[in-house]
Amino acid sequence: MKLKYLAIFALIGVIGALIYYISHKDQHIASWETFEKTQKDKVKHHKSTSAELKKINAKKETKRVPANIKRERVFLGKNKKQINEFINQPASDWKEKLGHNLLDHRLPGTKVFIKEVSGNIKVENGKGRYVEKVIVTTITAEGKQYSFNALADSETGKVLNTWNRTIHEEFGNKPNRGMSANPVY
Amino acid sequence: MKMWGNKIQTLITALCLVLLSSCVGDLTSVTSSVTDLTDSSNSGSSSGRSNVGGDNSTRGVNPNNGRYLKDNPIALSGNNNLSANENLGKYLSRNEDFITSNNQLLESCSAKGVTRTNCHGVKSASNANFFSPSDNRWGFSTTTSYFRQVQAFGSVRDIINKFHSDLVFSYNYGLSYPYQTAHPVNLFSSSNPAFWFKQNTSLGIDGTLLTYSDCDIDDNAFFSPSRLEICLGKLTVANNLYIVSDPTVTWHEVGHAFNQIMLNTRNTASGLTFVHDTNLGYQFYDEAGGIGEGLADFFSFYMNYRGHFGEWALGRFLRASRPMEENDPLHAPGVSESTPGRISYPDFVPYDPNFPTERLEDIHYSGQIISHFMVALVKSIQSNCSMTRENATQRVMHLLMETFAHLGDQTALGYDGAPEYTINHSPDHAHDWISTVNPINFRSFMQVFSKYFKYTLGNSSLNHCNGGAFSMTTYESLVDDYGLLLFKTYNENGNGLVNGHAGINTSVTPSERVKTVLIDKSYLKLDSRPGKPKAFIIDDQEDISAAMDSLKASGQIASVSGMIDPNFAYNNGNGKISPGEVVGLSLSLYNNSNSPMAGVQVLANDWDHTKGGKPCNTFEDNWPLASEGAADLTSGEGVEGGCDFVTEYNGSNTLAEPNEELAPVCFVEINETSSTQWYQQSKLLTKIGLDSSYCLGGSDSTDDCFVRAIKGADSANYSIIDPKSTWAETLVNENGVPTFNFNNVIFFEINPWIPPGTVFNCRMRARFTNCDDCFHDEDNGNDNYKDKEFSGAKPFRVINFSFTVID
Repeated sequence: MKLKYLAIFALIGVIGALIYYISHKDQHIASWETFEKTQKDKVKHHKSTSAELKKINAKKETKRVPANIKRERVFLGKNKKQINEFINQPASDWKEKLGHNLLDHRLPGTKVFIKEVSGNIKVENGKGRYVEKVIVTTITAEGKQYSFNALADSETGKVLNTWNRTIHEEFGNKPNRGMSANPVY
Repeated sequence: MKMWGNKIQTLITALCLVLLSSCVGDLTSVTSSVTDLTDSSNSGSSSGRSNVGGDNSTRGVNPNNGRYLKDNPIALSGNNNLSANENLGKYLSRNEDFITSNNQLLESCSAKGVTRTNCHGVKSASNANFFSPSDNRWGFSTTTSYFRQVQAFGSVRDIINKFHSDLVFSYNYGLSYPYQTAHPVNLFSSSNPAFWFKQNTSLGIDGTLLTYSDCDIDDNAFFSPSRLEICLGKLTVANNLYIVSDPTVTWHEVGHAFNQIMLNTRNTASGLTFVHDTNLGYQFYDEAGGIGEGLADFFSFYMNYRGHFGEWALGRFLRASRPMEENDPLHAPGVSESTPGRISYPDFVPYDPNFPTERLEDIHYSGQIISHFMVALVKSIQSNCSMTRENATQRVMHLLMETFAHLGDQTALGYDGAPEYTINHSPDHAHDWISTVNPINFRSFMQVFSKYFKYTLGNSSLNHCNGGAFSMTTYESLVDDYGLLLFKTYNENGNGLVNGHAGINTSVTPSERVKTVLIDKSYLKLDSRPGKPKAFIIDDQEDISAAMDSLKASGQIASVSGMIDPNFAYNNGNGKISPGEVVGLSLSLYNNSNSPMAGVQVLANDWDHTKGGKPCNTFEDNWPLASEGAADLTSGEGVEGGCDFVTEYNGSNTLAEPNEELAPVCFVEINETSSTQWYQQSKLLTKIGLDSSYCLGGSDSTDDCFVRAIKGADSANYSIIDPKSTWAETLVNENGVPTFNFNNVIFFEINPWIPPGTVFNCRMRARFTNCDDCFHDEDNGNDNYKDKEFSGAKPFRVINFSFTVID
């Protein structure tokens, strides 16, 4: 009898572990990362969860690039040539720095989601700069969502350029972005 | 005891079964088989234009088939007062439609024998899975999400097929006839097809355009070029009212995607990896954005040949639909297809036909000028060339494809085999030219579009207009009716350094410019009327915080200096410029002419106006005096580095132009022992003994150490300024005061280390679209200025604004 109960409890344990694994196995989608500005002006960082990706309508990843494959960096622009001098060096924590930079001067409660697109080399005045192309999705403190592409410095995480911003129609009452201005005489 | 043991055993077994079944639910494949057995689509009603006599349930259609609406319910029913609860199934056609033979709403697209796999797909929303119906039967009740997904798929698929078919026509035409087509020869390369979004599987970039039919946003739809997504939301006015049920809106959104593709065909086909894609519109309001919206509306006409967009989703419930023909009943009295009645530039820039007495600065309203012109041109080609409506529309689309391939070109060649850069300065600076320095506006769009018209339908050597050529006089007259004859030549010779003023350059017939008014830039100036403000300052903490948050959120600006408090604590809202603030500056520009000015732009980006670090005083503003620190003109003039020499490389080629430089707009006044002098800001750094690490841009950026325009917010756009008025007097709200949006303001960072009392002068540049000498070089037969000139002063009105930083 005791053995029977032990077997049942063991089975429950196995089933429970299986369920936990299945429900959590895709919970961290490797290529998206979440950065959130807290009420105390701190930044929290974690791999994006399924629930978060659902909120920003992120596509479900169908293919992952194997982590052990060394990325080949593509030159940007016309000047593809041998570069002997670089003005920066890639840092492993560039994405974390980028997340912090994106949340600078932002309101508490803002979330940004970063997805890597490619690593590149930008030629500036004959020197190379390691850069990262990313997709950034933001949910503002008011719950509005925007996306754009960005180019970030691979060492400092500083945003160098942005483009491909979302085109919103906003058919209803258009949001009033009016600002109060003081005349100068 | 045994009884309780059995009960516990039973309970545990049941629990295991429950847990196991939920586990199985997680383990099922990503698609689920769906069968809709309902038949609510067939109400048996005899009202409406088309009835589903058959059964639109899943079992009621053949495999691979279903049904979807071919236009919006208002158009299909003929009932402008259709109820929100209307059974949309009444407007499905009796015949079944082929949906797809794939088991998901995801398919390839092909053009000219080249196939792009996973070209486009549809899901309901969020991170949903693709669904698969039983036996691949795509029939569903119109009240279901499954139907909405099929609806979206059908609408998107239809316009993609037509677009690609017409792109092939345009490409073949361009390569078959002797004119400079902008189409790249490898537009349909199998290894790098430029007729769709880029795909790079090794990087995980699938290039698939996904449409979400039940997107979780209210009264909104959007196109995201970064994520290649179209989001069709829900209307809040009623339950179960989805934007996807209006195909004209779906086509509008896909139209934005097509604009993106067309602008980047040459960039994609080049095989180079550019830093950015070319976009259409970079601010909340600018003319490129207006053109984009007008063309997106036109993509609705492109599909159904109806001169009205959004009657169901926008018009019926939100009073926000838009006409594309002057004879539309929605238009205000006086609007007509006659010359004086056309929706013309610039008068109709702020016009909303739903609220005709209001004047609103919005890209959707200014875009109507373009949409109306495009529809009118289709009709004109039909009648003048005896073409069918379909063929005429195809020809107009061909012109648009050529125009955008040229205007968006970041290789800067403009066409294959060009001997030099003819557009957008050069590859290194093309993005700056397109986004800020010389962006697409109503003038540039119409000039390039008209050039291709002249090359094709207007070409008497081709005779493609009913055996002859479309009269260019007639064409110019139509363009002028819309106030869009803003160019004096067709600029066939481009904007290049060497040949920009050489070769063929056909002039527009001056007598055809009757309605269009070109104004000298001298009529635009800083308001100097007594008692009137010369500028407006925004420095309220809440306003600035919200502005910076919004501009960063949308990606318009990349960053704010680390020297600025993260909460903008120094912003005190006193209407003055104080250390540590971010301030918004809106110059009060006065239109001293008798005609409206439109597309007014003020630039605060770096430009070529110094020599040896000192400000040149050789421009129209005559600032500063020689005694106040102006650059020395006694030597080094007429060569690179001189005040009279404009950099040919935008200051970035230190080998070819070692003495040429771009300088920030703001200078600082420093009292020397014998005089007051104007200097670049690095001088103040030295004077107050501040370490360069305290500069707004860090140690490497000392010339804008103390006052710096935020990149991305370093230009301002104003849609229209009435005669003898300022913008603030032209567009006022119901309270009679202007509403400043982000595009009306240039945002400056003010270093907290500035000593109070320091005086700055910012020398900015201004221009407007219907300006004569902002674009026409009268020293070269009114040809376009060469691209390089936009690094300097010639195409602009130089505007100085001085201020004192106070505590």
